[in-house]
Amino acid sequence: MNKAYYILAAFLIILGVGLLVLPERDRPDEASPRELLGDLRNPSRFISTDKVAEMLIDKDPTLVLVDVRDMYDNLDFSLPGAHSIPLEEILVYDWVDSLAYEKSKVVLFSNSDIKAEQAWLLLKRENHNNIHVMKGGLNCWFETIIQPTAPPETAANDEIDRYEFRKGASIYFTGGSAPIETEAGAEPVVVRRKNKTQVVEGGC
Amino acid sequence: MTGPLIPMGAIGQSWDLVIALLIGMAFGYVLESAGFSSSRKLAGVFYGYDFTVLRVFFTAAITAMLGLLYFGYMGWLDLSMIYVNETYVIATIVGGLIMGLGFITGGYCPGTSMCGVAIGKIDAMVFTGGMFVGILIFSEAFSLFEGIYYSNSLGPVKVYDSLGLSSGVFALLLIVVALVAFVFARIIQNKVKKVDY
Amino acid sequence: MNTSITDRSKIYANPYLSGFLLGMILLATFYITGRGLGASGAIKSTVVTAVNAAAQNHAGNSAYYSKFISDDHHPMNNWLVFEILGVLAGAFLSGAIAGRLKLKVEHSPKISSRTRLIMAGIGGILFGIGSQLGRGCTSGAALSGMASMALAGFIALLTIFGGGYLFAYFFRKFWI
Repeated sequence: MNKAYYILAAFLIILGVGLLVLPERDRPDEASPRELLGDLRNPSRFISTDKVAEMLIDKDPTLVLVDVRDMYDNLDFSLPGAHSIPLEEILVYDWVDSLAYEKSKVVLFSNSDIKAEQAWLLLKRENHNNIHVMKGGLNCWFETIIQPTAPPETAANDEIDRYEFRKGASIYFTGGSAPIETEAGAEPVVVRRKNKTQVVEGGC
Repeated sequence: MTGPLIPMGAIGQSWDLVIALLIGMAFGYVLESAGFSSSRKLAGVFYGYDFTVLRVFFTAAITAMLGLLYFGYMGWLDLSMIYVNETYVIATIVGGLIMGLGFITGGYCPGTSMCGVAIGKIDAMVFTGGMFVGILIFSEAFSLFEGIYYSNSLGPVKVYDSLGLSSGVFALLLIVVALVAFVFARIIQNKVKKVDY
Repeated sequence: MNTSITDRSKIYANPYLSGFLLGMILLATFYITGRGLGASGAIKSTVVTAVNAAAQNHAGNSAYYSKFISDDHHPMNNWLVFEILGVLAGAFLSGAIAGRLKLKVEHSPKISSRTRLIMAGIGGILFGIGSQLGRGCTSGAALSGMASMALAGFIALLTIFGGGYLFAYFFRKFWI
């Protein structure tokens, strides 16, 4: 038999043994930039202020609100039940696993979108899923929930329904002291549940 | 660039079919030049007068296997995104035996029959026609086969997991088995009466 | 060395080299597409297309055909079909270079052409049935399955070639 074949056979054996002998490579458990870009372009992480209001009113146990602004802003005003985890400390310890369970929806918010988005990206890099961002932040919360603007008479039914919902939510969250015009003798405001699975409707 | 390229988006989806064509051409060229367009050469592995099938098959499987394992190790390829065939035990066994019978009667398998057709082998063309009919029969009579077809599904199990070995150990074992097989093939081929085809 | 034309067509490449090249092609396929090669699937697509064209309702209602018919794209617009077209082209090229292009029935001198063609037809039918049941053939299930270290691949390998060896004795008259 050819010398060449002996050499090739030996080479094959070496390759095979090589796989056994090579040291384990340290693979960091992180998402790659490419994956992150894909996730960034996917709008499903956004959750509307309406939806958050609805979940709060329904006392939905899967909701975990996280305020990523700094501590003082949080003390001034925040959403009911929100945990204060400033952006600077978002990675300090693994709070996601202690606050949230499998079916939880963790919703990050800040004044506008910026800090919440930054926090979201960092958490996504560490492969946390089921983290959401409240679109528009607290600024939008004020504009839509606390002081909603009434749609014109000619608006679609959807918009009118949403406005009614927001009026009711406003009263719920401010204890009835927000300046909302109601007609004398109006029927009690019914907080209607909307089963919308798609996010971000009627945002700011 | 981490592979696999198309699922990772490194190459656009639209290149998919172009690549299929090019890879197919390379595949066809190598198969034909190795002699797989000849049914008598292919059947030789079962009768001992020509072990080309064994040599090509084992070498190809091992080369690709080692390639995948080393690419995975180097991080050039994300092995978790590689398609692993699902295991349907009974269906594969029964299908395999039927295919074995088909191989020994027809002298071809689908890929090689295409090579035969390309160079003008009429028996390859008949074989291909037969396959068409066979698939038709299977589809029409699917209700008969359905039970076997879906039975005993284990999912995409890897062979080394099912044997309780690591991938490296299994690869080494396979290399040893292949080398031993090559040696025996040479011994047997030298002893068997030569066939002129 | 005798290099007359009749001998030239019998010159084949070194099997180990061919195996190595084939392995490289398979590796490239995995690296680019994430899947291995295949062959029987292309023929299956042809059958599905033909049946769908001839009897659309039947195809749509059937438990088997319907799995491969989708509104999104034509069943022939798939990877394996284009791969097989490439195989035909590549094999033709190789055959042309080697001087192997010839319309003929290849058979053992101990049987007639007609017998060979009948057996080829039977073999094809069996392979057609077997490849559907086994969800692949030697290229798709066995070869690619082995490379990706799937259990299914090794079972396919053992049963296809095992089956061949099992039945070889009974068909020896057709080959040697």
